[in-house]
Amino acid sequence: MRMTNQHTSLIKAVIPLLLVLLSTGVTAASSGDIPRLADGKPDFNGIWDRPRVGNMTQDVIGSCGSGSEGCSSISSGPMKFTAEGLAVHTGPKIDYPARCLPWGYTRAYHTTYPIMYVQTPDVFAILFESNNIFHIVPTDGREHPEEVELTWMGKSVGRYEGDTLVIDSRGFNGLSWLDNGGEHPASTEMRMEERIRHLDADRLEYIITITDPRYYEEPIVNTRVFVRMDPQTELYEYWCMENNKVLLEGLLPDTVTSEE
Amino acid sequence: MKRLSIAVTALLAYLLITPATLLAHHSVGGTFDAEKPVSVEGVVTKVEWFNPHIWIYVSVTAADGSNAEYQCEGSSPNSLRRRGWSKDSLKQGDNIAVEGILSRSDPYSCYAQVVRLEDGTRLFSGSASELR
Repeated sequence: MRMTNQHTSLIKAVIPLLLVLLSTGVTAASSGDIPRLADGKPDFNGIWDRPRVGNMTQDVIGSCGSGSEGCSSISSGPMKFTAEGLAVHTGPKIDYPARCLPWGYTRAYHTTYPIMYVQTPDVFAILFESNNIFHIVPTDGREHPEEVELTWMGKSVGRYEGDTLVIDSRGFNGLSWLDNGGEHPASTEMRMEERIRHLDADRLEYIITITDPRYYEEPIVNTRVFVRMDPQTELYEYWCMENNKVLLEGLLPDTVTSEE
Repeated sequence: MKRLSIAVTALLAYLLITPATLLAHHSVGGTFDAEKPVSVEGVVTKVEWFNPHIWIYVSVTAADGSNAEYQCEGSSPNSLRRRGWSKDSLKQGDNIAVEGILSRSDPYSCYAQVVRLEDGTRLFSGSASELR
């Protein structure tokens, strides 16, 4: 049977991760090794340090954005642009977060700053220190509505497949980039699947698969490891406009362009 | 007063560009020019310890006695705080050397990639408990 592009990308991302995990002695947790909610679902509550992903086409090994060790992100490789996607990517773009517009969901996940997961049986909430924003994922069995209003963070629904939380998101406004250093654009047709599970009590595996047929010919997959931060850690206040001198003093260029 | 100078070394900038890019809340390459590396040595006149980035103000006196006021963007206070740095790590009156890259539009604004005190102590890099 012929493998789909999505399968090929997933395999490309998973094999290097397996090598990393084997080399560091990390293996998947048995079902009894992980924290659980009262209803038996895996418990993801806590503040997590993540790899800072500047460019989704590049790997990050070992370093976490906020000082922990053991984070990683394994990429499925170079983006394969459609003609329209390449034109947008290499054309003039506005560096919107520099103007304190929202990161967008994918780029919010790529910052240096930690995130907090707050979980109940019916809701999975993601609190981002960066820009002090949040994203709510219902896990009560609901489906996406037929009509989704396009927004920076998109609309998500979650479900549990065994000990893995699967989040499906759509409804993005097409104004955000996938990453900071890569400056890869996202269209309104972007959809995203995230799969989160425990590797052990203090480490998560996070697999993100982005499909955006308008801008990219193949899915983009990153397989990551998050590390639990110290229980005394807290999320700090963060206001983008507090001292955004590059914006306030006119140091920002009107647009930026990216190479292929 | 300590002799102050401005020096440009392309090699240094290429070695240092990656860490700066990793920490910014904006596209560093769009605002600052990797082709314009700069070394600013002078006296700290003010430190702004606010999100999304700290800013360090440096008064520079050249060998001919002329004076210039530089302002350099650094990392975010949240990231620095988690590594043990604080708004008191660098004080008004400290002699420092900043290595970075210049703004594309302002010749007196830079992105700070390395900050060193007069004794060579490196600030805002790694953990504050492991001064380098």
